[in-house]
Amino acid sequence: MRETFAEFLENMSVTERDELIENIIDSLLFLPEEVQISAVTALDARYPALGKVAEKSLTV
Amino acid sequence: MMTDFLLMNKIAQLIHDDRRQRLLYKKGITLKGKFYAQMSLSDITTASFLSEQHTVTPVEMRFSKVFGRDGAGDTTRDIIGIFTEFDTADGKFDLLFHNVELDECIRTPEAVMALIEAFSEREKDRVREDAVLWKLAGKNPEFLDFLLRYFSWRCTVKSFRGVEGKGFNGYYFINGKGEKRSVHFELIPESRHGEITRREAEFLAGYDCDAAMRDMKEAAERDSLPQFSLFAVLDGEYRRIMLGNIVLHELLEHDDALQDFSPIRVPNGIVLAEHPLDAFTAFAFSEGVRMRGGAYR
Repeated sequence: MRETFAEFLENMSVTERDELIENIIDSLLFLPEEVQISAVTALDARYPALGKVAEKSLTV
Repeated sequence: MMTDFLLMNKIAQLIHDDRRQRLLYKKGITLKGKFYAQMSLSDITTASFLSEQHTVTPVEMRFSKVFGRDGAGDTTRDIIGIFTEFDTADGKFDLLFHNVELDECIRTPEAVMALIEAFSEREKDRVREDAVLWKLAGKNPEFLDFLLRYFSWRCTVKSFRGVEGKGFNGYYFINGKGEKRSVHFELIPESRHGEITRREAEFLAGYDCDAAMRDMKEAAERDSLPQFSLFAVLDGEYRRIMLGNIVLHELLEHDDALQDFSPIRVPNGIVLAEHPLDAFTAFAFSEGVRMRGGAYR
């Protein structure tokens, strides 16, 4: 009965979701490459769409 | 050689009076108010402040940042902790809330300890900033959902008046027949507001590092301190019951109240759940009180 992560995402507006993606990328941007790679791998395994956006933003 | 004993006594007294800081929840603001019970719950708990309709119970609430240092900007990304202490006829009842939920897969003492260590390390080394958090999620993907909650709007807040509280600990309600029901609590503000974007948060952190504290002080001056509704969620029955309203009416001048706050303190009719995380929280708070030289009132 506690709020699940899926419910947390459902309750977010589109603007809030976009901001979340931006915040994640901003947080990863200047980190060492090995940290970026392990974070993107973890994101990709759980949330493939988010993982792809992060990977693209960090390698372009 | 120092011979001014009065001066020595004075400095010794100041040192003794200087309380050791909390490990977490350092920067906070405390308010007083009253809890108005909405209905009688005597069939599910013998707790007197809930078993009679219209019972009024004094309450103290402390809003704080969980990991931030004492001088950290209020809008700097962080989780908000809310201490809520009910001064019931049967003794104190201390409820701990956070504005983000801890996912079920990391509701263990080991996982919470790993989070505390990671966030504490992050606070010490601002140059590397989030590397330590992403390393944790990279090695243990079960932390990922929590990290995503952390990077959402929920954790950049410019007003404590509109934050939601998710009860950290689990409890049991016990009725007159000795029947136990698993329960956790939720705190819902009159209107949810105050969550801001990263850019606004960064600007405000530099412009006014006490933005959320100031917001509360200004609300007190306008006589418009917030109200919160308290809910009990009966875990096994999928029932959410509104217990009543907390109406805040006074802002305390100094943030030295609730030094002995500990979720281990419960009135008759309520007991702390037997989950390892609840025992861990109870120990951590009790040890904190002991180390700061506090004593339970």
